[in-house]
Amino acid sequence: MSLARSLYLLALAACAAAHSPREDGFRERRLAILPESARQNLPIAFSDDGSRAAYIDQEGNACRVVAGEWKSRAFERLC
Amino acid sequence: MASLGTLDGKPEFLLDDRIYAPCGADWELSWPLTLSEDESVVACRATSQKTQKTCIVVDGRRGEEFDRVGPPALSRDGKRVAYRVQLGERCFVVVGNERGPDGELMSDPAISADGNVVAYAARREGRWRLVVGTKETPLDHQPSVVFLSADGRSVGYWYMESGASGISRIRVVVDGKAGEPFDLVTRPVFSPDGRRVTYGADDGKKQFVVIGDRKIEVVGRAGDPVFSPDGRKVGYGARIGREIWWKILDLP
Repeated sequence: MSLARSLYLLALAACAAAHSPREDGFRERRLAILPESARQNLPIAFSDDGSRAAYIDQEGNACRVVAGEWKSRAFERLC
Repeated sequence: MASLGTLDGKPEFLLDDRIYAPCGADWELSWPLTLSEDESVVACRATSQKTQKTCIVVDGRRGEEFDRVGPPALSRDGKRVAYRVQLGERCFVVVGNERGPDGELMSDPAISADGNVVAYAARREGRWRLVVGTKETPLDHQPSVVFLSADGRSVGYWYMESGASGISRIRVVVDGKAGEPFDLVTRPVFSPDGRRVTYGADDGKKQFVVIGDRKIEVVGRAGDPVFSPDGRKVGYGARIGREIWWKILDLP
């Protein structure tokens, strides 16, 4: 079993960071439309400037963290 | 993007797609990771699998080992770290390499942006106190979470109070002034000028964003409210049906 496939995510959250939001991103907007495959009962994480949201998507056995255009590599399991 | 996973039953941290394991296999990390503003400094807790002692790791360097430590608070530049320590029957807060005075119980510390002010709650001789820098204020209740403005001049905390029905409610206190109680609140944050606080609050099935003295009912709140850099807006993440939104509340 490869390293990537044997990982499964336990949690997805914004880090406890000493961040200050950036002004240019601070406007109301739709960030994403959750696909049918997105996990419904897991938290969504938001960047402090509101420019990105992250959620967990699952297709078959492949699970990915999705944040804007960025997608993580596929993992085998999520909880 | 930081996340927590496991590999063959062992917790692993991920920064984007990279596995973050600065201390090797003998040390198990604990959530959350704390990052400096530019994300160049990473801090977290680590527990030795051999001795069960814990320490704070900053940029891969392990600090002093104790029985138990709380999550680290970092200054914006990541150069100063503060955390709570349990050592036998004692507990204290460590700031940099210096230990604060002992207490019976303590909250996790908050640190100002420049790292010069640290605030926390401590119980000494049976009495809870709010500690901000070198100043201590006696309290009549037990604070759960302490938060600090960026400049370290304003401080707040929340505490649980028992209602008439015996159900506990949470009340946020800012610079000594208590807000109304709620069933749940998110972590409060100060505006950049330190004059107002915002947090999410739930009361039954109703959701609110609290900004200073105002309570605004919202729908679908899924993230903690934060102030814009100029302090004139509050933003929060929301989920409305299958749509994820960043919503804005303009302040008067």
